[in-house]
Amino acid sequence: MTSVLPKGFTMMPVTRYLTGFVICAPLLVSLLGIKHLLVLSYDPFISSWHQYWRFAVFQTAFQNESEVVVAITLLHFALKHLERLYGSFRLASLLIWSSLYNVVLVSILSFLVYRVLGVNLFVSAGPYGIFFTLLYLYWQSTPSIYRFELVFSGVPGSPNPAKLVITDGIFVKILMVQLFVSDGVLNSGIPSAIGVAVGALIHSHILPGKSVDFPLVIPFLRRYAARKPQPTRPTVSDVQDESDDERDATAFRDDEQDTPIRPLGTQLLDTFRT
Amino acid sequence: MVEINKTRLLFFIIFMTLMIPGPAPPDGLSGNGAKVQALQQLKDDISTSRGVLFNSTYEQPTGNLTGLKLSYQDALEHRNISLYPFEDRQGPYEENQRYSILPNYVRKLAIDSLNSEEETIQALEFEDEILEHPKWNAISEVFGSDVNIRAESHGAFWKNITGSLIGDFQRVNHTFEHIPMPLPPYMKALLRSYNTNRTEGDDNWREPNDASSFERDVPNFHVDELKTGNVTELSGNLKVNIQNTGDSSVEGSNGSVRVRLQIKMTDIDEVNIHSLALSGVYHPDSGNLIATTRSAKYAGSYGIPHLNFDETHYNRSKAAMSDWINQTSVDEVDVTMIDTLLDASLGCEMIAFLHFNSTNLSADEMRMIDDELWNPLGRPHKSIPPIAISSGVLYSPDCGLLIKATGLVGEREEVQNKRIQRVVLLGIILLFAQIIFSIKQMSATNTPSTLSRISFWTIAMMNLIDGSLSMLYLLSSIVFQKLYLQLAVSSFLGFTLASVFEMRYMILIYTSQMNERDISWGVALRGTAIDDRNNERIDERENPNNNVGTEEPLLPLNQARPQAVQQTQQQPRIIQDEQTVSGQIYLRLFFFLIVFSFLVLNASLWPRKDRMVFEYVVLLVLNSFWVPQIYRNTLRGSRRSFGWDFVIGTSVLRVIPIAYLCLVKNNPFSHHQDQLLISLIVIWLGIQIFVLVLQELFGARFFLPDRLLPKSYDYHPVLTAGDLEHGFGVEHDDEGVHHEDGKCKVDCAICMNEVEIPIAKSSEHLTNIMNRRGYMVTPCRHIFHTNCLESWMKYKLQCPVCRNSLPPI
Repeated sequence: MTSVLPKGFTMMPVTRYLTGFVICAPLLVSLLGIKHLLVLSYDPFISSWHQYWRFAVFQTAFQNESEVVVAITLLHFALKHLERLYGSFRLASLLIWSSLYNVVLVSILSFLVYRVLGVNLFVSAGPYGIFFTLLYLYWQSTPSIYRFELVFSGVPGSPNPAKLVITDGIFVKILMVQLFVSDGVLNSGIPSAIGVAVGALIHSHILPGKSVDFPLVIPFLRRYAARKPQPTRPTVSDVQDESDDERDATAFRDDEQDTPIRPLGTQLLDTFRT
Repeated sequence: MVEINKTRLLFFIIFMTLMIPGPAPPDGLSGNGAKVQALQQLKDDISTSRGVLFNSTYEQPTGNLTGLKLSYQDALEHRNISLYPFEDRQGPYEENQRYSILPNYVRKLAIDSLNSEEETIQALEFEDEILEHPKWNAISEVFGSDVNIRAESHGAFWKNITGSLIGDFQRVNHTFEHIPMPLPPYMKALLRSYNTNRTEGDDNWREPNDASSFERDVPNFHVDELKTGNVTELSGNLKVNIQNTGDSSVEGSNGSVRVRLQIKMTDIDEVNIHSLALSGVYHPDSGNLIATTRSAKYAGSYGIPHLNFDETHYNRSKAAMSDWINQTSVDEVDVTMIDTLLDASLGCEMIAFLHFNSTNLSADEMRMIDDELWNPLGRPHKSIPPIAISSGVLYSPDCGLLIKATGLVGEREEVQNKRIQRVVLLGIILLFAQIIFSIKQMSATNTPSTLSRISFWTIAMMNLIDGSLSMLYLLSSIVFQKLYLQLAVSSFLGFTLASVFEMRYMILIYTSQMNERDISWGVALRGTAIDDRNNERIDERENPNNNVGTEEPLLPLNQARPQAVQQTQQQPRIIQDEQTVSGQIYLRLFFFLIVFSFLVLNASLWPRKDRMVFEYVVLLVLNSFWVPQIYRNTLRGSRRSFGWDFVIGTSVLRVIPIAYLCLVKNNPFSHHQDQLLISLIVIWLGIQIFVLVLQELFGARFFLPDRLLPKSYDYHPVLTAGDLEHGFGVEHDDEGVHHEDGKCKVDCAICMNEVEIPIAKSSEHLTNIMNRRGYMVTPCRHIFHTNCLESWMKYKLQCPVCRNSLPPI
């Protein structure tokens, strides 16, 4: 993976929230005991019980922790790239577009397969489609940085040693395969393949998404961006260099009005700093 | 180091108690010949009983089963059991008391109650005979004489009746003929060997119904009263736990399944508790359930088929029971089984006939509900009906008891679990909110000055509540496997709140207050005011010995008397660092936590009255967590302590669960409605908060009489013109001071803006206290804005102008 990306989620709010969502949604779902509501297959949910809302919710959360781990790894090592490439606004629109396309394609496919072939498709719960759409776009925009060869000597009967040429993308590919087959080749493979197809359609501008902002999301994001940038707190290393007097002066400056707004996470950690 | 060792010891003890199971199960096979013999004979006995069950037909009379040899008629005629089998009972089985242990009147009552919705069992032919029974009046008083069969069409019955039902019972005020149920000879022999091996003191193995053993110590009736299942009350509460354990698809059973019942009968005050374990058969086609106990003296579960009153149900019961019995091999019976059976044989045997009401749903709808509860998928289904028993008969053949069960209502286990889950989730939200409030409070008071205002014990009480809540959650997460996730999360959050945040806060508070000298109420109130030297003289007059050590003013006051300081310095003082302190606090808290949690657990098993007293006392004491803060405010004369968001938020968050338990009817913890308790708690907390508000508005000691008051330093004194002339912090150049209509303007040295001071004409003419809140005068006679000096005093208790030390607010 690449080392040029900044550490953590600096200046990448959409990726940060997406990571939080991918982790928290399954936790919340199993805490509420509603895992079974995210399961989707055409028969009986749609054909006899008419639970069309299942199309809307099946992408919200992964069912198993291994899928969450793989997805988070992919997000952190590869898909983070996309936010730098597209910008936060467009990535957010892209996420919404691709989730909608995936819902539509999955519902059409499962309807056709059930009606024409008589096969009942079972679709794994989780944002497989969205992830593979993003991964497709990632592959289209990321050149390989280096390549290396694995040389196997001693294949009997052949004069030349066998060579395997591998690029740096192999690690992401391994994770992709892992995510693709994580819930069975068919169950998770179908939404993943649809995701790849959506990615290809978006990339070739057949479906709008890559350059068209999603109407609803923009005002919300503009408000987010318009917020005053948070003043940074002095870090531990800064404080250590200060003399006692200086620290007192800092404390004195720290009046109630001037206290920077600290998010909950910082406050939580601050309780352990003396 | 000593503390650390103590901690280790405590943890070791806790660990050991948790890890090591109770005393090892008695290894009866080593060196106890009697038990080995008994086990072998028990195995033989069980295989015989199984043979009787498998080979029996409806036509054959009840076979050679322990406790079932004598029929009710035999008991009436006092036949000797050793003469079994009786010759006059070889013919085909008949449904009457000649052949069965059920008396005819019990049979009639049972059939009536099983037929209460639809006639599924043929009624008796000899009803007139029963009505002439001498005790029929007593019976019909409880059971009602007329039988009305509800003939209207009804929906399907429950297929699976796993759940717990709560209702009432009524006992017929008459003891009927006891059917003798002696222990089989090998069990008697075993008991005899027990008794010879034991000292007389713990001779608790008594042979039931064996007159010779009673002669020694207690009169017969006394023993009878103590027996489990021998209900002496005429009415009380009845709780039935039902579990479907069998497989409903057994061939020939037509859906009838084997069920297990746990019946708990208590009087209203829950002083006597009778718990009985029954097993039997449930017929989902008619909603009828027939179950009996099983013990060493009564092999009831093998005789179940004949309690079904007709041949069809006989065959279904036989199929269901045979299938279940076949699942275990006779060889798997071990020594513990002997003790279980002997234990059970000390109590009364019980036979239960229960009729479950039909639901108002069709069979398909019920199947949908059953499937959904068994394997949730989000199926569309009708709202889930309750499980209800309209009528039931409990009969004890060996104690001669006849009990009517009424109004039993409950929910399916899964529905009940779902309800508890919702409550636990709500608790998670509350815990989360409490954590956020605590964090905010902690970051608002992170300086020694602000920390020193806060009462250690207020936080300690909250910590005790949260910690024991976390412990109880942890314990119940082990018990309720179905709700493990939710309970574990609650326990984790409670633990985080109690032993991370609140504990950290406690340690901070403790270390910041560690150097305070011990003070008592009297001392604090008599304590020297900073600007009033007269007090010192008064003190000396009152206390000629000048026992200064106990008379120390609260905190570093700027005029500490030299001799007092000397005396305190002479006292040996243990210097504690933060680690030692935290170790000690952790140790004490965990000790109290464990003791308190076990006390609460234990109290939940107490009789009703004791439990209610305990509940009132504990809840009122635990909900007085603002009292230490009020006390501390008064002692230190400080007006502000906790942020108001924390005070209100915490109080509300802690009242919500109690309010839920006391106000919501049918809550899953089956806590009774108790408006008195909740209103007491709300009023009590309201009073505490109101006092805190008043303390903030009028000063911490507003409620004390005036003569006690001028003891702590008053930062808002009445300033008179005379004071100003005596150089009260004011530079006497006319540029800086402006006298205008009883007001004076001075520069605040912190913000460099003007402070407006109202000037009283003379010392008698007091200005309103609210006017005086605007400025503060230090003991060294410097004047500041209240806001300016208070925010400065968060950081340092030192005058910003002359560096004299300041008494805390």
